[in-house]
Amino acid sequence: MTTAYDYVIVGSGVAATLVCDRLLEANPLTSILVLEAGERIPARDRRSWWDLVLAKRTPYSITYDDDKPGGDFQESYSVGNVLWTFKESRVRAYGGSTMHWGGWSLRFKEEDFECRSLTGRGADWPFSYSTLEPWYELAEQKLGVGGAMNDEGPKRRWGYPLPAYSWSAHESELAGAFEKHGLTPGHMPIARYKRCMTTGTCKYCPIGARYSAQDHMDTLLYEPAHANFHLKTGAPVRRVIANRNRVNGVEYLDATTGEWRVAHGAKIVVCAGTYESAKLLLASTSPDWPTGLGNRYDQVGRYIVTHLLFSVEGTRNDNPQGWFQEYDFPTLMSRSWDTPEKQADGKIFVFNNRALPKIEFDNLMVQGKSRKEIDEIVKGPRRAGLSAFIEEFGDPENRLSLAPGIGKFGLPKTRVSFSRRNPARFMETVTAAQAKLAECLASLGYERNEPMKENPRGDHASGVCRMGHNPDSSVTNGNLAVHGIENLFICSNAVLPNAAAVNPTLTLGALALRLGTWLAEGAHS
Amino acid sequence: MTEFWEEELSVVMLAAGDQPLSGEEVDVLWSLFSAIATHWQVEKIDPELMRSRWLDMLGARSSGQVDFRGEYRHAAEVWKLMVDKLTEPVAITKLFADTVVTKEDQAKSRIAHVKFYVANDFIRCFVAKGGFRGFVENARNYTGFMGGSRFGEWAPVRIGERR
Repeated sequence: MTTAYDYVIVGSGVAATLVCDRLLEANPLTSILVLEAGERIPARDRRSWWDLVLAKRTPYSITYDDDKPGGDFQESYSVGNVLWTFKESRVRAYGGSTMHWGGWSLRFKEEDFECRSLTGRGADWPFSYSTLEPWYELAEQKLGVGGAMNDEGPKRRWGYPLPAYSWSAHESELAGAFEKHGLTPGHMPIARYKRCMTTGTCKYCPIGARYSAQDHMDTLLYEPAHANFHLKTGAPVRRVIANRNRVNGVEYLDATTGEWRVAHGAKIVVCAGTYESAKLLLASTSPDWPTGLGNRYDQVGRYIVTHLLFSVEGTRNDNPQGWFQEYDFPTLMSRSWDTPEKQADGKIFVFNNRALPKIEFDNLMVQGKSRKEIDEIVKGPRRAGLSAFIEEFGDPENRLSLAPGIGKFGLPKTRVSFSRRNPARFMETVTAAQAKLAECLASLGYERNEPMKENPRGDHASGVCRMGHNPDSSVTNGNLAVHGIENLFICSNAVLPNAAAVNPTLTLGALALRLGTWLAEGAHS
Repeated sequence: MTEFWEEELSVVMLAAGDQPLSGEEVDVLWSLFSAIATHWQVEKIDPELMRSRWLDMLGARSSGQVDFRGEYRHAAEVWKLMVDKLTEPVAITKLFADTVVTKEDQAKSRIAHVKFYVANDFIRCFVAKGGFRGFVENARNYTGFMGGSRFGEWAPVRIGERR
């Protein structure tokens, strides 16, 4: 195998896959090396699927961050005033976090691209929604997104490639309550890719229906025309090699031999997720870049942000129809609080709690309940729940950095410092939203249970290599090139200038398709 | 005198061995699986319609990490003895109603092994592959059940007025 490529791509998740998709579409003989720190998780494996159904065990859980404080293998550290949760928030394997995602595929809205101008908080994007709109369309096609054209959301020229899921009977009832409380109900857009069969086991789809980057990249790898396209797993990249304002390769560990190797690339694209993208820049020091690549203005790692998930649950005394979680994924959502009017205080994205109402027949039977007892439970008290993400804004003092030592995939350990400047005001917004959601449930006869707030989880972490026009306030430009370096690109959630209120994966997909096409066109010219 | 199924056993899983399950062992295990429908009186569910999916589970769990063949073989032996000695209705009640084992460290006897390592999984398989329909009229889907259609001919769940 050669050690010099047109492109070296770090990471193998959705961003890497869609960049490769465009490059190979433009020129099937483009030489590309994809380096993935993790290994291949078997896809559509019957045993893995049965382990999930029978024992709720997934084959990729071993790749999750170990963030147990004081544990022997701790590799991720939360040091701010707000506990930042790493565990179960990303998969470190071929295919990246699409190996465990739920497929929620929502576009950001027009105002998200002008957050700073409209609110004085967060940052503006270097381009508008209309620039990204065609790439959103293509991303929805690539991921096979099912949704409803007329639902609330940003402007769209065309409908979704696949139809939306109907709401379940329980969600239909909730939709009525939404309407009475000023929330317009909508259908969750989901990346059903090869036509979902609604097994409810999205965390490990037995038929490869829910989009995964592994499935997609496999189709690129197995295409005979792509003779110069290579993937190497078990290959953590520890450093990007730079010479002034150019990079010419990466150093990676070959886990099979234990040797350090160098792969040269005319262009390097870092698609390693939010944490690893920033950490790789920080670790790539040299005399020209003593504090890390692209970090002349100390911007790499700053502004880390994610979504807080909060919920409301309620219980009513009866369940005459015996409703339970038939889908086991949410199909009801609302973007009525994801609007310019709500932006200054943090936009909110509302969705049904997929796991409620819950009747776990199997657990009741395992516990030895009789038929009569189960019948009483089925018709008895029923719980319902609504959950939401709330947008938070990037703060320069909130930052990701390298922690001393090496973690289990041969990558540097991670430290996140995250605090809120005005936690009381933030929690007031959350509490007020919870009260309104509880009113929705109350109108259907549900008595409110204790409200719940999770700690910020790293699933939607972003912002640490944010896009912008100026190198003193951002890391990458509008084409995702690192400021001051001609041929180094970042394509991960790290580049998002703000988190908006919804899941970021479709937006990342759109950015990846745009970057891949731009690079391919540049290569041709 | 202690019955065979009441004998103490270490909680550690039984070794799988090298041999595949015999046809006779599979038949005995199938009778154990079928007894689930009997015990919970879900008469409208015909276990025969689940046989291919149950065999798929049995095959998938009979190799790799962790290999359940040792437990399957042991369960077939215990279940056959219980049915022969107690009659099937009594054996069913004893296993599914009287023996509750939800944690590995509770699997300290032969029958506890059968319940924890085999019967509990069979119950989960039974429910996921259609058994849930025996408890709720008109229910269409459950986690692990393929309720949908690639061509969208029918709604995979019960739906309401608003869609």
